[in-house]
Parts: sequence; C-alpha cells; structure tokens
Amino acid sequence: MSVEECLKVLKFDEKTHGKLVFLSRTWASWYFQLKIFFSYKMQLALEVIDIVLSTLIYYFISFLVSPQDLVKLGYSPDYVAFAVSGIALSRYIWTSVARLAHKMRHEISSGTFESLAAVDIDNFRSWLLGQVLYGFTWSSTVFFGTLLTGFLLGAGFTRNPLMWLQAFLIVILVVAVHSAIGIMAAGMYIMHKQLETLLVLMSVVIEFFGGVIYPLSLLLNYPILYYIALLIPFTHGLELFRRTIIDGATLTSPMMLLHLGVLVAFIPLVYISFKVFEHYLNIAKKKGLLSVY
Amino acid sequence: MRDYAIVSENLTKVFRGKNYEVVAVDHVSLKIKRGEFYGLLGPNGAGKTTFTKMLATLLIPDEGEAWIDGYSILKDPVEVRKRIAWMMGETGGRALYWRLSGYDNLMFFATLLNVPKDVAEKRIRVLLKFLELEDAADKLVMEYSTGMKIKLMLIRSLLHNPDILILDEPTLGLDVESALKVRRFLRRLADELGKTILFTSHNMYEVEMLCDRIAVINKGKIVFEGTPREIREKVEEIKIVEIQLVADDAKIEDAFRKLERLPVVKEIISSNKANEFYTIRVSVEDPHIAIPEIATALKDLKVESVSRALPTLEEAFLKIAGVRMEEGGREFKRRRFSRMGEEE
Repeated sequence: MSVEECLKVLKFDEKTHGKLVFLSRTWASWYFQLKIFFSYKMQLALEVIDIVLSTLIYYFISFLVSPQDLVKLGYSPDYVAFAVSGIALSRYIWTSVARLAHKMRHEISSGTFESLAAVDIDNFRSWLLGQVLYGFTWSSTVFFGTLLTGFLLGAGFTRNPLMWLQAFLIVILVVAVHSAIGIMAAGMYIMHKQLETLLVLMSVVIEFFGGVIYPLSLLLNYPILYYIALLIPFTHGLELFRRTIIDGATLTSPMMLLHLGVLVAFIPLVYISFKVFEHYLNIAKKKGLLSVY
Repeated sequence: MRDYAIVSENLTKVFRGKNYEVVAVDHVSLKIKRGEFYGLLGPNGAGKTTFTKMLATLLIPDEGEAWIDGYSILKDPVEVRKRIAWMMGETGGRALYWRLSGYDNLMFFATLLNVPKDVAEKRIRVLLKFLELEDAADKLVMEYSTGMKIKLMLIRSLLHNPDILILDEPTLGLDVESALKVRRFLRRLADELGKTILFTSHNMYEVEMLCDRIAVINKGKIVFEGTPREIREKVEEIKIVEIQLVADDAKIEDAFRKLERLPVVKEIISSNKANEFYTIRVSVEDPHIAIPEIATALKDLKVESVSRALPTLEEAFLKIAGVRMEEGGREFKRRRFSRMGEEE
C-alpha cells in the first residue's frame, strides 16, 4: 500500500450531519461497551451465580416472616414476591448507577477518558447516554433473572399482561430518574477518587430507606426515618413497581398517582446531572485530572 | 489570524498541590501557519505535553488564550476538537480500548467523530494496510506491541481527516523502519494535503528531517524559535573536537581519565563504539589549542584522528534548552559503551 493511496482517501472530507449522528454516537458508546463487557466471561458467570444465591437468601427468610404481619402492614402475604420485587428493582437501579461510576474510574485510570475528551463534540452527552443504556442493558438481565428466579421459587406475581406493561413504564421512569444520579456520580468521580465508598454507602441507604426487604410502613414508628425515606425517589418507584406486579394496582388510585407524581418531579434531575458532569469535567480540566497514569 | 492554524498568547498552566506549585507552561506565545510542519522540542518535563493538551482542550489554561483555526480553546472548545487530532505517542497506547480489536477501536472513534461508516471503513482499510496492521486488525489491542498501538493511534487521529494534527512524540516507541515511514508520510500530509502539524519530540534527527520551524521549550518557557538551521547557527560557539581511536574497554577507560584531567577539555559530551573503534566528542574553549594537547595526551593509544567537528542538533538543543552539558555527560557515561547506531 503506497502513501499515494493513503493521501487519496484523506483528500475528501465527508462527515455525517443531522440529528441521527447523536444517536449514532450513543449507539457506538453502548455497542462497543457491551462488546468489552462480553470479553469478561468470568464476570458474566459470577453475576449469574450472584442473582440466584441472593434470591435464595430471601426465599429462606420468607419462612420466618409471618404472612399475617405483612397483611397488617398493608401488603400481600407473599414475602418472596415482596422481597424479590424489591431486590430486583434495587439491584437493577443500583448496579446501573454504580456501573457508570466504575466505568469512569476505569476510563480515567486506563487513560481512555482523555482520548474520549479529545474527540468529544457534545459535552459527553451521547457517550454518557450510551453508557447509561449499557448499564441498564446488563442490569436488565440481572433484573429479569432475579424476577424469574423468584417466580420459579413460587413468588406470586400478577399474570395480567397490562400490569406488566404498566410495570415496564414505571421501570423506565425509575431508570430515567436514577440515570441522573449515575451521571452525577460519574462526574463527581472525575474529581473525587474515593467516590466508590460513598456509592456503596448510598446503595445501603437506598436498600434501607427504600423498603427493599421490609415494608416501609414499619418505619412509621420512627417518623424521622419515614420522612427521609419519602424524600428518596427510589422509595416511590419501588412502591409503584411492587404494587403493580404483586397487587395489580392501577395508576388510577390516589396513592399510586401520588407516588408517580413524586417520581416525575425528579425528572429535571437528568438535565441537572449533565450540567453537574460538565462542571466536574471543567474542574478536572483545570486541575489536570482527566488521566492519572 | 487567518493565516495561522494555531495561535497561542501567553498560554500558562500551573499545577498546584498541597505542598507544591509547578509552572508547567509559562506564558507561551506561538504562531503556526497553515500547512506548516512545526516542531516543539524539549527535554522531559519541559511542558510539551501540557502545552499540547491545552491546545487540544484537555486542560484549561490558568492564563492566556489560544486559537485553533480561529476558534478559541476557551470559548469554542467543541469547534476546536472538530478540527484537530491529538495523539500521544508511547504512553498514548493506553488511550486505546485494550479489550476491543484494533478495527473496533477505530470504528468506535470514527463513529464518535461523525465519520460515515463507508468512509471510515475505507480509510481504516487503507491506513491499516499502509502501516502493516492489516493482519492484526481483528486481534484485541491487548495483544498488540507498543509499536502497533502507536500506529493504531496514528490511524485513529487521521480518521476524521482533520486539518490540524497535534502529535505528541508520535514516533516514540516505533522501530527505526516504521518511524521513518511515519515521518515521510506526515511530511507528505503537510506538503500535499496542506495539513498543519504540531509535532513534539526530543529527537533532533526527526525534527531536522521534518520541521519547517522549531520552538525549543524548557521549564515551560520557549527559549528559542526558528528553523533547524538557525538553531545550528545559534550554537556555533560550541566548539567540538572529535577523537577517533581504536581501543579495548580497559584502554578506553584510561583515555577518558586522561581527557577528564586535561584543562583544555571542558567536558566529554558523547561516545560511540563500533567494535573496537571509538568516537569521542568533547567540548573545548579553543580547538586550535586543544587538538594538539589532546593528541599528545592520548599518544599511547591508537588514535586515528583528532579534529574539529560541527555540533550536532542534540548538542545544540541541550545548549539552547539551557540543560547543562554535564548532564548530557553524566548520561553519556552510563551508556558510553553503546554500539554505534544504537540509541544514545
């Protein structure tokens, strides 16, 4: 191959234009990240084992939980369904949020983030969106895997397809709100390299205040904790999701509408998260923190 | 401004920590014309990479401003990034996704840069073949050698056909043959396609071969700007005497001791060995006085010749950059038995 041929292919200058290019960049960010992930075969296997074992834990705990107590607290008597729906959604959300922060750590420590910054033409929006989608793509496997394992263990989920459609829409809303947290966490990670410890703490906070494995109404005896729980979007997302797939509650009931309204109120966080990310990116550019090698 | 592809005015970058403050780039002002092949030379830690990172909008300057193709790096960073390619040499190999194949790495970045798929595929195919990476295209980058990664980085920087290339030591880590091929290709990119190339290096040879103009940077400051020839002329006051002799390792040690004791010899600059044939370069005050004294001092050895020599660009660079020649001397002493042609 001669230099002439190289010069020939570099003589013309063609670039894609239009709105599709944003989607195309998002797709590239998602697709190639997924390719990288599938190259880690051991990790895939470990995550599948994790799904099954963690579901089994709550299956055995269900033998200790009195169905009558659950009913008294305003839920259906099926603790397996209660716990599995909680851990499925919390893991879905949390692994996605944490995955983005982990990804940021990896990009910065390996040196690829600087490369991305050198070709960034939309303030990282398409790349971040691709990474968020990637996080939720893999987490969806965890999510459905957990629900399926729970179903096989006898969890009493609704069999009404319309309710599952409603659950799907609720999950999308929860995903959108929590992707904002993931993007903000990723931005903060550029500056604060100890963020992972904070993320672990946040996952515990969500599990505790979100009522993942115990009914939130238990906290009514501890008003301060209860009101803190109400400030967390996940709490409302989980209530919506759980009531939908276990009790078959529609979005027409006042309580469901209230939870939905609170969740929707958090949507502007997505826009704010991009701004937060840009803010931290600029600080990192001032301090020279885009790479650590 | 319109005649210039890159303009920097008092560009300054200071890195601050709890107990330190380092002025990495100190009020650097440069103007690089369109289509110019411009070399930025400096020793390690001189500020070359920091300067290029600011131009590539990867670092925000503390003071000053720069314009790429007329766009401000502070106000229009996205427009700047669309027009440039920034490439790091040896360490830049880390800036690739090691768990993706070479081809996938290129397609990923081509998509991020809005290059249409068919155009990207054609460019990737031709450039991979030219740089002899065609057979390794589907291998994971983690299996690539350093040289292969550098070639891949170079291809990546050309995919969107930018008008301005900012190449930070792009040949560092390449084998001699590949480095030569890359240098010739880059020169033709400037000559035939009018690309503006800012090329950092501490290799005087490639700068002499490639660049239209050179700036020498040391401790964050530009200490010289001109053509390679002007650099040579500026340091003509360096008086070099070259001694060629035949000796074994024991005798050459004796020769060094004698040269070090001679008052007319300011310092020993370099030494090369090819079999038993040595070439030693020393700096002196006055070659007319020094040459006979050196010949007399080494009369017990098989001296082939003692003559005045022109300073190499390396020696000129050390002088201009303000690096003391003794530092070169210490470095040389560690490697003085290297064979001729090996990296000095």
